[in-house]
Order: sequence, then C-alpha cells, then structure tokens
Amino acid sequence: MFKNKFLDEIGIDSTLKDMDLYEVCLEKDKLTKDAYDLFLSDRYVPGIILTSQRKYIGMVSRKRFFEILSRPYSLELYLKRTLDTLFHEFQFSSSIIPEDTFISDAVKIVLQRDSENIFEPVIVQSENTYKLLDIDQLLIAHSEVHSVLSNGLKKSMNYVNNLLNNTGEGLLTFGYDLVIDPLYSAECKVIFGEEIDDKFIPGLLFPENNKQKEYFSKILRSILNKNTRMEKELYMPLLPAEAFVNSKNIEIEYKIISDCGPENSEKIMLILTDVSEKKNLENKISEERNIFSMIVKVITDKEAFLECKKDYEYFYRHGIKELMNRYNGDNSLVHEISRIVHTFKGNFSQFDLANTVNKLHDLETGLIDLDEKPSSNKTDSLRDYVFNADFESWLNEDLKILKKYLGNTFTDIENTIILELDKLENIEKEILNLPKSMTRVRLLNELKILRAKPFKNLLKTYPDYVFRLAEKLEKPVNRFEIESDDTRVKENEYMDFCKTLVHVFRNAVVHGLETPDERLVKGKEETGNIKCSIKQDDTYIELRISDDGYGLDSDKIKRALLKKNIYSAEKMKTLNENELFDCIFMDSFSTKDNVTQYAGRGYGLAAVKNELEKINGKVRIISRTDKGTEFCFILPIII
Amino acid sequence: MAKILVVDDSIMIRRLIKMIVEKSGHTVIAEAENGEEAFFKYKVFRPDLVTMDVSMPRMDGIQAVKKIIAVFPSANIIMISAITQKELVFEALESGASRYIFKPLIDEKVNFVIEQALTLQNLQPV
Repeated sequence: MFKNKFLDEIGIDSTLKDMDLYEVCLEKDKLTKDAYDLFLSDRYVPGIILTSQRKYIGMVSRKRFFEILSRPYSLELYLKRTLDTLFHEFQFSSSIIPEDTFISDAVKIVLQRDSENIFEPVIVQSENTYKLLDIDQLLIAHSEVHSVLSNGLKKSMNYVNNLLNNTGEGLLTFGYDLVIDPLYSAECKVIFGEEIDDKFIPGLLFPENNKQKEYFSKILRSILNKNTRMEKELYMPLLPAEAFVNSKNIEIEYKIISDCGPENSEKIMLILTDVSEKKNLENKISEERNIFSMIVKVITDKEAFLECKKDYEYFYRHGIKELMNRYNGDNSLVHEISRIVHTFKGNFSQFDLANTVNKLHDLETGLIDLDEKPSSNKTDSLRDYVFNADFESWLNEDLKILKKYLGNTFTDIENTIILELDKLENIEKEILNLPKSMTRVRLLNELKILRAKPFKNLLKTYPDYVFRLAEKLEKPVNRFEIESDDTRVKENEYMDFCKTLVHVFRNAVVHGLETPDERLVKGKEETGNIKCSIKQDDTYIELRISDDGYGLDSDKIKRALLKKNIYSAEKMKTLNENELFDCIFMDSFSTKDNVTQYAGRGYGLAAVKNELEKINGKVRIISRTDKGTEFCFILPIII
Repeated sequence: MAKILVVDDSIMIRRLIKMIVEKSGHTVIAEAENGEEAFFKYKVFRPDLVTMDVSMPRMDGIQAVKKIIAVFPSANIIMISAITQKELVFEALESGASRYIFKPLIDEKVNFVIEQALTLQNLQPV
C-alpha cells in the first residue's frame, strides 16, 4: 500500500516508535482556518495536537473537526475564530500512550476506549513531544504482528514435529494428573500401538500389573510434590527402569522439566527405548554359550553324564510307578518325588542341559503348588500331574543338540567319545564366534586340553631307537622309559623340534658313551645309561636328555674351533664353559675327524638349535668329565 | 565422626559395613539382626546413624523405620537394599528414612551416602 512501507519492519517486539507518527501542532490561539487549511493540504493527517505556549493541551481529530464544521453555519461561525473557542468540543478522555509501548499492548489500551471515541487517533508521547497515530495504521500493524507470530509458531511447530516424528525414542510428557500431553514422538505410537494423548501413563506402561501401576503413580506424584531438587533426585532412581509393553522390552529414562506454563509447575518427561532386539540378541548369545558349555561338559565327563542319563531314564520308565505303589495314599509321596526331581535338576545343571533343567524346574514348582493346595485326593492329582510330564522328550531336546555336534552314536559307547578332529574344530570355531566372556575363555581352554596330546607321545620312539643303535655300536645301554608327568600340548607345534632330537640321542650314544671296556676301567657299570625326562612348570616345559659317559671335552672343542677358524686363540681364552659348550650347536661344528653313517657331519645339533629357536625354546648343557652330559631344553607351553 | 548402628540379618553384610565405615573413621557402636532388636538398640545407644537392611526376619526394615521414627523423629536411617526392592525403599523413605544404598556395597558408594546423610542432618534446624 502507498504509505505502509513501515510494515516490512514490523515484528513481534515492535513499538509505537517504529510506526509512521504525525507531529502536527497548532497553538490554541491560531485561527480555526489554519487548522482547516492544514487538514485540506494533507489528507492523511489524522489530527492536530493543540498546544498552549508550546505545551500540550489536547488534540483535535480530522473526523471530529469536520463533524463540527459540517453543522449548519459552522463554517461562518468558527473559521475566523481561534481554535480555543472550539476546544471544549474536542475534549474527550483519551489516554496518552508512551512511544515504547508494544503494538499489541497499545491495541489493548486503545480498544478499551468508549465506543464513540474508539476510532479517534492515538496520542503517542515521546519525552516532551506528542505525536498522533491513525487507529487504522495501528490495527494494520497489529495484524502484521499477529501474522508474524503465527507464521513463526507454525514454523517452530514444524521443527518440533519433525524432531518428534524422526527420533527413534519414545518421548512424552505429563504433569501431576499423569495424563499424557498431546505432543509426543511418533515412536510412542509404535511402542504402544496406539495414539496415546490423554492416556494415563501408569496404565499404558503396566497394563497387567496393578501393584506396579499403583506404585508407579504413587512415586511419580511423590516426586512432583517434592519441593527441593535434592529430594527429587533422591527419589528418581526408585522409578522402574524398564517395562514390558506389547511384547516389547522398553527401557525408561526420566527427566524433570519445567512446564513453562503460568503456574510454573513441573512435568516429567519419559524417554522410552525399545530394547527388545538387544535383549533377544543377548538371550540368543547366552543360549549359544550354554549349548557349547553343555557340549564341552558332556565331552569332558561323559561317563558321569551317561550315568545320570541312565538314572533319569530308569526314573521315568519304572521309578515313578514303583514309588506310586510304595507310597500309595501317603502324602509324603509328593515330597519324595520333589526330592528326586530336584536331584535330577541339580545333576543335569552340572552339564548345562538348559532345556531339561528348565522343564524339571517347572515340574518342581508345580509339585510344590500341588502340595500346598488343600485337596481331598492329593494322590490322584499327583498321579495325573506326574504321569502327564513328558520326561523323555525334555531330555531328547538336549540330546538332539548334543548329537548334532557330537554325532548320533555318541551315547552308545560308555567311556569314550569318538570325535572326528574336524568336528571338534567346528565346535571350537563356533565358540570362537561367541562374544568374549569368562565362559568363552573357560570353554576354549577345556577344548584345548581335550585336543592336546601328552608331550611324551612325541618322544615315544626314542628309547627303542637308542637301544638298537647302542647294540649296533656295541655300546650296550640299559633300557629306559621316558619319565614324564601328564604334560599336554598341541602336538603339531613340537613335531619338527622333536624330530631333530634324534641327533641328541644319537650323539649321546655315539659320542657320549664310552665302550664297555673303557667304562670298566673307569670303574663304571658296563652298560651305559641314557635318560630322558619331561616336567611341566607353570609357564614352561623342561625336557632333559642325559648320558653318563665321557662328558664334553673342552680341549677337544677348543681344538676344533681353532682348526675350523671359528675363533682365534685369544678370543677362546675369554669364553667361559657355557659359551664354549654352546659352540657345539654351531653350523658345521664337529669334533669327529671322520664322518660315519651315524655322526660327524656337524649339522645335527645345528638343526636342533634351529628348530628350538622356531618355538622360542632355550637350551643349557651341563657336563662333567667322566660323569656325563645333560641337555636341558626349556620349551614354552603351546596348547 | 559418627556412631553407627548396623542392622542386618546377615553377619557377612554386618561385617562388611563395619569394615567400610570404620575405615573412614566412623564407629559401629552396636549391631542388630532384626527390626525389634534395632529399635531396642537404638533406644539404648542413640546412634547418629543407622544402616538398615530392608528385608529381615521377625520385623523388617520398613516396620523398624516406622517404629524408630515414631519415637525418635530425627533418627537418621539409611536403607540397604537390592535394586529389585525399589518399592520397599520408597515406602521406607516415605516412612522417614533419609537415604538408601543399593547393593552391592562398595566403599565409595557407602561412604558417599553416609556423608550425604550426615550433612543432611546438620542442615536441618534443631
């Protein structure tokens, strides 16, 4: 519009100062004609401020001015007189509004004027000056403020709705009446399966549990009633942290928020999260963990498991009938059966047979109920109850799982389980897929020990070998066994190393032992002795191989080192005994002058050392002249 | 430092609480195994603070709180409870208990709540 350019700048905090104001003043002793001319010269001037000696005394509006002058003879009567002769005609009670009044507040004041004067211009005071504002301008500005406001409101409602519709959490609020406010997130509808405004929150969250519903209402109201923040915070943790709604597990968080309403009261906001999936996953994982725990326990103590299974089968096939006959009509029958069921439950839970244990637990609960119920014929209802229990299929559920992993015949042979290695590896792989936990660590360890073989097995051919070699070389040795504890290891890891030990045993016979004659001269027993022992410590395996022959000859070793130019004579003097002995593991070191089928090339011990280093083992040689030589290998435990 | 009455039917828990509070300088002046004994010992020893198990035989913690508060309205009682017993804790607070601790009992938690309860009492007008 032609004169409303100020509208562009109107906002919700605009005041009268921001509007087009007219500052048109006339002294009261001016002629009415002057006012008449002024009004005619500018058709928008809404009125004229009257002053006396520059001081405000009143206002004459365009409307009122022409109303008076349009009376008969008025023009002639007034035009040539001063304005104050007309003054009494202009006066009406018009409040003066300060220029920093908000537009909407000004409208409120203006509209309270009486109906006769309601369209008179508004007098606006700015310090000592007075200005006029057309009422229609004020109303237009007011409608602009209104539209700015409602647009803004619509926009923020859109923002809020966007947030509420797209958050994955159920957000809702309520006050002391515990009735849900109309604005809540879309997820609430998903959680509860219905629109929830005006619904009673305790009833929604705990539809079937009256006690819980009552408690929830009581504590919520109690919290809203508390005066201090500290008290509220004391009570908040007592609110239930989860609920079960529409077969969903819902996690609940609480926030106290201020209402922002006129009473400044507080509301409670709920943040609901559907955690069913997480819960299901957790359950599934623990179920799987249970299955493998069951498998491992059954494998490791199969004998006890089969014993338990046999007892159980006897119980449901014959035992129940026998008891029924023995206790006919006796009320202690229910106790006897409960006791037996309880024992089976305990036995099977040692093997983690989850299904059987759960079913037996339910049965036990049922038996207790039955016992507590006053009934005239307890024996009959007990008979019905126990005979209807399907003991066989409960156990079969668990057996089915066991057979899936261990093969259909695993229950057939009593003391052993024949299990192909790849089946065992599969079980191990599946356990490895479980999330990390103490159970997983335990299961893997038990499986490993199961898979591990006695270390002794790796060396079992050597005693025979030594005996035969010695015979051939005419250096008889006493038969010996490998002295060993039950050290178990992952066989493959040590295989290569143990194969190289043939050199150590061979050296013992070839280089270590004296001939029988020599031994007799030295006052030793005619037949030589070779020993081998395995001992496990906390962190390592100690393997000792010894003979009771010559012992290492330091001088001979030194000579060989010199001859092969491995060390100079000076360097040799700095070597201690251990370092010197270590030299016999050097590549191509040999003190023998002639190569035979059995020894002398100098590669044997180097190969031992090489394989030993591959598995991070260490070796120490203890040797005393004429007492013998001992190789002490320290090996890490690999299971 | 405060004189404390420890109420719990389990000797293990009583021992644990005693150990924790004495480490931070408080004194356990008496112990009780049930609500009745707690009331009796409260009368005799007038402790600054009571730790009260929620569920006990003969007279449970809630009844004991009610009985003690009825005679000694300024009694300072901390409830000891499992997290599954929120409703009983609420009832105890409404009956006049001042604080609560959910098991398991950990040193920091117990000491924190005891300090809170003692400060709370000092703030109250005599």
